[in-house]
Amino acid sequence: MTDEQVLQFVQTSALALGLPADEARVARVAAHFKRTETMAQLLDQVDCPADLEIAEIYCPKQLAP
Amino acid sequence: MSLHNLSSVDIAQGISKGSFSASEVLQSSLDRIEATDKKVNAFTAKHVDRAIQKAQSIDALRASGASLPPLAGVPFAVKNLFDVQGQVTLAGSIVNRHHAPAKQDAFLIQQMAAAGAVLVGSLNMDEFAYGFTTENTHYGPCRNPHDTTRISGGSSGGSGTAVAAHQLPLTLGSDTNGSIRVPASLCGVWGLKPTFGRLSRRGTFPFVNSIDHLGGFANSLDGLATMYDAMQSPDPLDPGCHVKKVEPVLSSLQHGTQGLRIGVLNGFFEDNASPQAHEVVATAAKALGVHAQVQWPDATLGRIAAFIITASEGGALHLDNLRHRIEEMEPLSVDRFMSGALQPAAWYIKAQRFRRIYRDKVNALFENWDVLLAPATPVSAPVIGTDWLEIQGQTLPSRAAMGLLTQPISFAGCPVVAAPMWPSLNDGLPLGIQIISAPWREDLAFRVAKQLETLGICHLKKVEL
Repeated sequence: MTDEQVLQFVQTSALALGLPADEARVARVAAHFKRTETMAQLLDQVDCPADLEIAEIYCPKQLAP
Repeated sequence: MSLHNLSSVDIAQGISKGSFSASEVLQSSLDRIEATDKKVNAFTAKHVDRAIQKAQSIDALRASGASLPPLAGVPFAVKNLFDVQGQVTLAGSIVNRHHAPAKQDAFLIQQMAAAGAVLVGSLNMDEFAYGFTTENTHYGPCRNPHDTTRISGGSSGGSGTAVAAHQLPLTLGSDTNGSIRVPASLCGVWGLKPTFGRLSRRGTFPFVNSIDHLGGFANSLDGLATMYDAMQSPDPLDPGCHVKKVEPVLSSLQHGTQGLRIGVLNGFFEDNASPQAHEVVATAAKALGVHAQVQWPDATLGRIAAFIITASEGGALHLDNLRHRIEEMEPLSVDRFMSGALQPAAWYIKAQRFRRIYRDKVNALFENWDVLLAPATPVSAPVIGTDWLEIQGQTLPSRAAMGLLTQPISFAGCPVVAAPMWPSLNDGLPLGIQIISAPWREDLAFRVAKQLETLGICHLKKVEL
């Protein structure tokens, strides 16, 4: 997204969730969101098979003895 | 004798032998806190009456001739996200001030009390644990005992500081992305982040349920092991506690490192480390006779996934606070909480699904290795208020970058002992290492840590306050 699109996304999503969306706050939040978006794009390139379940309650697996 | 400088093991033995009483140990700790806490700001509350009562009960137990539990009379304190009966659980916020007081102690405090330890107070932290610096706007920044112009690390900053300042030998903290290991590194004390799901989290204020761990800090490795053993227990009332049995580490602490396959993490863990961080790992590796370099799988993606999950779950947890009390929230983290609340669900779900792939890759790595070494922080403690760090030519946001090297490890759930080290050219500031083992194998990390302590490589230093 462009910087302008990120600002619009933050403003609209904040309204949808009932969060305060004054101009200064939207600009600060958008800066954080933009950094995260860049990271999310990298993660999006990972191929996750459809049957891979979500790790909702994550449990580390013990190695076989 | 300065009782506040003693390790928990020496304190318990001294009380058992009658060299001093639990009440004397407590008074020494309270005096030290009184003398130093204005300079370091570790404590947000002291629980003096209950501490006196507990110490007196230990002294009465000894007078009766009964055998004493392993931490009898040892003072400790907890990050203020642990429930303490009769106290409001602040979790570093002012938003929580109007909550009802806790009806009972957190599970781990109960475990510590059963082992004879004396709860003395609650400790400073980043608001709602979202930070690596404990620059808490509401309660003031926690200050590093080795240089009070610098941060202690976070989010368990008070827990690291209290041990480094010799106020107490043991403290408890939490670690989602590095919040025990970062302050342990910057304060120069021992820290433990156990396997995800090892210790019950019941009775603590959550941050990110799918990544939160509890653990502790100590001024000696034996003390850390004793505390860890005392806290272990299955807890059917915590769905995040996966253990079925206690697996103590104290009994195998002296087993040495012979036969262990030990390596040093390279790649991501080198690229994001300062020369001082490189030095401490090289020093530890040389002492252990370790030469192998090991690549951690998908470290960058692991960190990204942990970052996204943290932001989403944290933002969702505090949605009502963001809606109605946003002006009372920590200015240093509130915008990150809000950004997390707005993240698309697809990002979060992708990150959670990736965690399954990541777990299998990390476990595959540990088929060939027992213990891996890495720096705990990219740099030593920055000056309070630092916004940006330069690491190997990269300019990074300071408050997030302090967890760069811890985040990929905890995302896999691996246990880590954070060991205190002292780079040669660092103005006396510590920078610790992570001693990492496979999930559920804390014993191996402890054995390597013990070897490094025995060799004189990892240790605490006295502070002048």
